[in-house]
Amino acid sequence: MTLEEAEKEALKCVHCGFCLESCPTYNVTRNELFSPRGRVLAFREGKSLEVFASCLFCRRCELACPSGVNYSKIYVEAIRRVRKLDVSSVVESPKLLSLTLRALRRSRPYLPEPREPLTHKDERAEVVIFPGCVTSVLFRGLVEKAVKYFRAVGIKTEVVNGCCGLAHLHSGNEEGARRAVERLRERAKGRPIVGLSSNCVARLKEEGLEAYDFAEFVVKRGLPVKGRAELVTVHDSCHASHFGLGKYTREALRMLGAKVVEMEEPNYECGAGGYSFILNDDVSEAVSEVKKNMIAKTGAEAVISTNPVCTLNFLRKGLRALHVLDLMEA
Amino acid sequence: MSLLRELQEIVGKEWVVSGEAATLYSHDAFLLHKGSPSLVVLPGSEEEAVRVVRLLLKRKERFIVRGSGTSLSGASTPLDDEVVVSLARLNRVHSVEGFEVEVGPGIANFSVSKSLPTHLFYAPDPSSYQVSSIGGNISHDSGGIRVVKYGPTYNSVLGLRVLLSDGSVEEIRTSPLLNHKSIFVGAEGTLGVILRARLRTFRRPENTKTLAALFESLEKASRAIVEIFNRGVNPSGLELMDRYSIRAVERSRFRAGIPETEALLLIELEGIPEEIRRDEGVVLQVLEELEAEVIVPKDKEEESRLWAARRGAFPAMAYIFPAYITLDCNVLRRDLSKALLKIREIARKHGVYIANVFHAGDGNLHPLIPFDPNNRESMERAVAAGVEVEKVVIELGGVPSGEHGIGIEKVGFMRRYYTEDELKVFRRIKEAFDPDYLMNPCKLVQREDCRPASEVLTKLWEAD
Ligand code: SF4
Ligand code: SF4
Repeated sequence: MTLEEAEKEALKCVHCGFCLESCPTYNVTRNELFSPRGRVLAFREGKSLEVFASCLFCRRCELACPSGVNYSKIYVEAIRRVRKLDVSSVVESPKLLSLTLRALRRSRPYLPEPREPLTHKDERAEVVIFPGCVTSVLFRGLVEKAVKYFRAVGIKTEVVNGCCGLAHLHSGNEEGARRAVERLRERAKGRPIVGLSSNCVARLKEEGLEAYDFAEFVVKRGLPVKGRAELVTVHDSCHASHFGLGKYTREALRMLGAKVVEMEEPNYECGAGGYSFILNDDVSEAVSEVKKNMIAKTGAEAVISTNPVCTLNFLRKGLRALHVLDLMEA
Repeated sequence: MSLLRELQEIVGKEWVVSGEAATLYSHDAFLLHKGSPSLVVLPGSEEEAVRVVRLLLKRKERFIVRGSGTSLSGASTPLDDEVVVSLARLNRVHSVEGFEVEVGPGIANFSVSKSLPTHLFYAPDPSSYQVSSIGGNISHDSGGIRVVKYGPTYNSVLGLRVLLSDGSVEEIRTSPLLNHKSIFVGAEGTLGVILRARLRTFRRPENTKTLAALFESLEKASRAIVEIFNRGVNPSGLELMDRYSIRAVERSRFRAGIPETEALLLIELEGIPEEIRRDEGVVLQVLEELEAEVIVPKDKEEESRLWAARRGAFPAMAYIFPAYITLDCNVLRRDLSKALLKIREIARKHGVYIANVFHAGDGNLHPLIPFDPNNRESMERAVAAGVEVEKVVIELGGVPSGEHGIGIEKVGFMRRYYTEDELKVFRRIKEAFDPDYLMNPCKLVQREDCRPASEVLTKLWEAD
């Protein structure tokens, strides 16, 4: 992605406004300063670029845009010039990430205790488990369970810790994002990657890696699963829903014996996109509230979230959020 | 106190946009002009809206009221530095009862239908229905595909709450005598501010069925349109896509595998199964007589692919050129064939691409003329061709705009279509409602002192 490409995308925008109602930050403000169309215009005019700071980078606007404007390209170019905070070096190092999260925990008690990422490698491992940076330190239990599960079904795995680069993109660090993917590509050595963070999986797919979300892998390989029959609703995390990963989550849940009640808009943004789960402002809070109400209306016992940042945001809002793995017996 | 401070006091600081950021309200979906609004204010309730507008009136500020800003004629584009009042936050559903729903002006058309019990729907469906606001729909008397059966927005408005230029708030109800509801429908925000609308809804039809027909000539397709009605069938949708719009769509993400041919008719029938069967028989007979190749979609999925292609035809133009002029002139159905052929000639003469995709059932043409916004010559050619299309249509006895409005785009055509006396009457009406020309100035009905703010506008305004 380059400035030139971003400019080309911005020029494709015919200002029709068809993206407005799809955008969570517009929904809660109804103001062009928080709309995709407004952001694209700001970029085109080189004015008021700070309107990108409130963008949750959920890419719903891309799905709605009839002219095929690739908003991501514009976002990454613009946000670089606006964002003061860059977490790239933090997410690349589990130590730094743990330290940071530990500090954040003081004011955010809903955050789980950070732990050392799990290292694991079977002889002649055929599949790579990629937890994703946040999952690796905050949800280590999921990684352990995944390793155990694959062992039980006779698949040899290696856990590869690291970052997919999505966090880098949120601060416009294109170069860092690309390097993160390249590192993963090298370490996967052509083996299929099974991700435990669905938005990271989406990013890897987009970059052409053979990556599967955990549920997707289970369904596509027809692996056996057993689990608890709970009444749940499914949150489709934003980037993952671009790749239609939600249908595998639902299929895996069905195989487990769980019952799914759908909420009004399962792929509606959780409210934590961009850096909002750290920088939480009024707008992202209002979006979180919309989402929380959608979940509450279903009467489900838990919301299934396959992406850690969404999960954290749900925990913050006092909801019970679980990964598919949490419902599995391993 | 400065206007900015006073407005901030009414709506709160974060709901007044000033300075550079106001640029984001400099235009709507009409791409030929950008204003530079001095301030943008977004009231959050009816009371705030009333106070904001009263303040602007008291201070004799010129202002524009807008909803989602999807106007294709620039009706919500500031010409110059007018204050922009966005009512997008007034998006509440106040009540649903029987077949009626009462809503705020900022609610999106689509959200109205969503708020209804599943057996009802709100009929007017402009292409922008997912986002365009009810206030804007009313102000433009927006149509859409279903106009052919349910009429434009006018037929779905039962009552309005309007703020007038003397600061009073009036409840406008349908009345059997001197029906004054009508004057605010299609007024493009030049006569009053719509604060609330009571709308009528319809019962969802039991079944629908789509037929598609390919024609080797525009004349035959036009004859089919006339014949369908002559034989007593009133479809719920009757759309035409010509060769050039098919070509654009098939290059875009809306492609539906439509073969490139002179004209495609999309016909939707609705009702109970017996009605549909009867109408289908009649339509198929007409199509056969006119040697059309009929495609009967095999399932609902194929049907929706075809309709998505039709709905996507406008934005699909972006795959050809990044900007386009959208005209929406209206002719009688029986003159469609003449109008279409003349438009082809105009395209050849000016060396422009004109795609036509339109509401054929009600003769509402949509010639789309793409241009390269970075190339002046290309823009000028498009404007010249557009002006000529409007002339031809008016000569055929048609009207300059069927549903997108006059805005700043078509004010020039008003003089061609209406006599000087008629325009005088318009001005008297305008002056009765808004003596100082503060509301959406220079749109629809102009005072002598309106100046085109750019060269392109000059060309459009001097169109006669
Ligand atoms: S990425 Fe999401 S929040 Fe950002 S402009 Fe698009 S829809 Fe809105
Ligand atoms: S939908 Fe696409 S073309 Fe339309 S305003 Fe949004 S980004 Fe621009």
